[in-house]
Amino acid sequence: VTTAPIRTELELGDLQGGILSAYGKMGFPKARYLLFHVDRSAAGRAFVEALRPKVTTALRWPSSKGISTGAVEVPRPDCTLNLAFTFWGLYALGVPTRTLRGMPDEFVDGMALRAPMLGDDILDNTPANWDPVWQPEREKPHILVMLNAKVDAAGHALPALDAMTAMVLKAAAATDGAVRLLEGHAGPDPRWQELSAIFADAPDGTRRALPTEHFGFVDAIGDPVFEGQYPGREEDLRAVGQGAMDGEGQWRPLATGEFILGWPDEAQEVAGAAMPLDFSRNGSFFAYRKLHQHVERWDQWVAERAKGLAATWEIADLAEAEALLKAKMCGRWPDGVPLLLAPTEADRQAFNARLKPGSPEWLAAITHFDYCDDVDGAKCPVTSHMRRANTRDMLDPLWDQPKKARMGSALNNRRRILRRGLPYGDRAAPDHDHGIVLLAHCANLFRQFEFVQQQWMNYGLDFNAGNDSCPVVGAHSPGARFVIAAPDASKPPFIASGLPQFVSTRGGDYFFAPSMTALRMIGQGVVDPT
Amino acid sequence: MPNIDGGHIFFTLLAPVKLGEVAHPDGRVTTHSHLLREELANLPTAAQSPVAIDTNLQSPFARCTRTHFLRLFVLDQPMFNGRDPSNPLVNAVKGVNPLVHQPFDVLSRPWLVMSADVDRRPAEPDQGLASWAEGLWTRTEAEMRAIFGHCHGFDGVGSAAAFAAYLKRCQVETTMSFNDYWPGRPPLKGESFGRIGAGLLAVAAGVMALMWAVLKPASMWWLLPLLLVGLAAGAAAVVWNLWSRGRRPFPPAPDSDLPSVLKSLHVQQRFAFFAETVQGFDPQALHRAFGEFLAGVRPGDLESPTQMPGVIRSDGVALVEHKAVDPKRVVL
Repeated sequence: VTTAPIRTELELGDLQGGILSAYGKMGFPKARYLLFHVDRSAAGRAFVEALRPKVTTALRWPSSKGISTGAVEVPRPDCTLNLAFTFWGLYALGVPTRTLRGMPDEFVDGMALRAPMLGDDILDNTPANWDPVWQPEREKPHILVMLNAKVDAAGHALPALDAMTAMVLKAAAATDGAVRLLEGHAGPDPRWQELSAIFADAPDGTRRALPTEHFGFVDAIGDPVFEGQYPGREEDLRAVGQGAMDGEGQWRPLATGEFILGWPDEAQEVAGAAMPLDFSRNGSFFAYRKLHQHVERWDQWVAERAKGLAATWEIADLAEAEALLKAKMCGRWPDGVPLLLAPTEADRQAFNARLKPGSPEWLAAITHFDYCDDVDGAKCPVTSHMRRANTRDMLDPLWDQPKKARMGSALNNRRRILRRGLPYGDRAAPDHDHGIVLLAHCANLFRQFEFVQQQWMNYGLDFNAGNDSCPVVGAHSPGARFVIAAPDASKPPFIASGLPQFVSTRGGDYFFAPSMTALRMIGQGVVDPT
Repeated sequence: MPNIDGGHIFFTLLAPVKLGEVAHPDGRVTTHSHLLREELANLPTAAQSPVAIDTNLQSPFARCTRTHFLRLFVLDQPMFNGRDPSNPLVNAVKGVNPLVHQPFDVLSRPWLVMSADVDRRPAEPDQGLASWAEGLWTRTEAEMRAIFGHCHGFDGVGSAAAFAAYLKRCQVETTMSFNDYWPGRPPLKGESFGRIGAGLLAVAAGVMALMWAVLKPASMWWLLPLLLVGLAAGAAAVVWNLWSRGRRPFPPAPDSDLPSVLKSLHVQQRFAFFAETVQGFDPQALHRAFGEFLAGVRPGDLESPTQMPGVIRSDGVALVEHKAVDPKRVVL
């Protein structure tokens, strides 16, 4: 008889794809998101039923990493399809009142109503600046259809993307106008949101997708690891640096219920959810945030303040000062190496000489660190983007106690989000529509996404930094500044003042990505909450 | 217990709201609790949210420089949590009939609750409660009359001293105090089981020795009863020691009175700008600038310049404009 607990095994065929890991990382660097409005429930359900057989699940495809795929192999598609719904979408589709009544307040409100909490009521974050399709006076989006596609050697999306788009539009057209495509996206095509990784020419003449965003940082490095997300030992390996940490530096995967509904969470309970339980189970909420990046402003400000940093810290090479300033703001060097492990440019080079960039060892190393040894932020400023987004053990009130008495990441474990999505737009294009569509997945938008956005991105009290907001993505009201602690006693701290707005909201909403079971119930109109 | 804690008075008041009908200024006949709630709802809050700032009205309590926090609300009834839990087997033995309703108490009327966190004055006999109440009356008499006028026993209160006496009469013990002015961990010394045990044994041994010396017993058999008496005395001493230590107020955080807190907020904000401005200054220029900073901000002067009570910043930076978002609520 074994007393070891049974490991969480998610039924991958019941989860929608794109949640456990990002499509961009799985070889799908292009995407297209379409929004639909449903006028009649039956037509809406027919639309869902038409798309349901095409929905991509979380089942593992054959991969070069040798991860087992199960008895029946699912071929890797050229284009994936996923569905998500707003609260009013579920209402329009005829989901019963008792089920709807179990939905969380913030999901019922939708993102626009939460503007004061999210900082979307100030500066140029306000809905007046959003893409028309997201503006709160317009018809509400009900159904989000997400297509992710592979690319050819020239970096173009495979034809399957257009074919899948045509299939979706045909299914909507079959409802005689009862399911309507909502138009009004900024960008190349107002009918939908086009997304694409940033591409660069490879030496062999092909175009390859880069893992970077428009400010030049390698993105999506830190991502929570939770029970059931990866097979077996893979999960334990990845949990190091990405899961939850006890006071002694031991890592474990986070509880599944922090991201997937119907599973025990970090409070060691299965949180209440909309009934019946199999409607909510294996589903996930996410915040869709279209975030514009003011790249010219960013370049100018960084160049200007780097001069001040170079003068203050006596750095001869201005380019090095610029890289250092960016790294201090983000918490990582643009290539992803964290300041905690490589606080100077020389350290960064030594780090990359020791471990080959991109190798499994390097990837494991760049997430394996904690903050207790850098409490005052001498290496990595306490208000840098990375320390705010995932505070690890930084908020441990007993950080100065013996290891046995510490609390590790306890204050962080209930505030994690899975970051999905892709960049959009071309920073050189004249339409000035470029940034990132962030899909922030979690089990509780209020406790996880909204808390991180309000308290950690747009405020500084938890870091003893008063009103200072995140230097990269925070709301930069008049007087916004970024304080960089002195690296050692020989240098003064540097205050980078006059932060302009670098990242602004351009639209979005809160969505529910149901399981395949729930999708069937919604499509067939058989949700039974009794 | 913690009416006084951490250098502050934690004041809790329960004032009975008048019963009976009363004429609303608009002509309706209504209740005192209705009028009182309306009065409280119309009381401006401090300028700490976009809505409050836009009204250009300030909380009356921002006129008081000893009041950190003040809250007023009407309590109708305590929550009835259902029957007291009991063991069905015990009930069966005792013959309790679960069909017979358990009696439970209700409040006779709505009560006005006031809770406030106030700077203490150790030199005054009541730690400064009366002087605070008198100051509150002096600065907010109109509001206090409008609010407490709906409370039983307030009629006839017409002076600061009478108001202070009324508040004192309605004061109840604060059972949970809270303040957050300790920047680090307060210097509290905990007890360990070892120390408690050692103390118990020391008292027990002392008591035994004393009794042996006084009684001079003839037989060693007396040792056991004397040991028991000694241990009982030791245990009593331990309980008394822990109890009296537990009752001791939490130590006041340094400079946690309201004028000091406001001044430190002001200095902090100004200093942040100063530090930003003087980056790159040579030592002489920095020295001169710091002299000017000290002369301008006067860190030791609690009177001025300082942050006014009831606002969220005093660094001269314009507050960001908040735009109300008013989405379409008809959705389909």
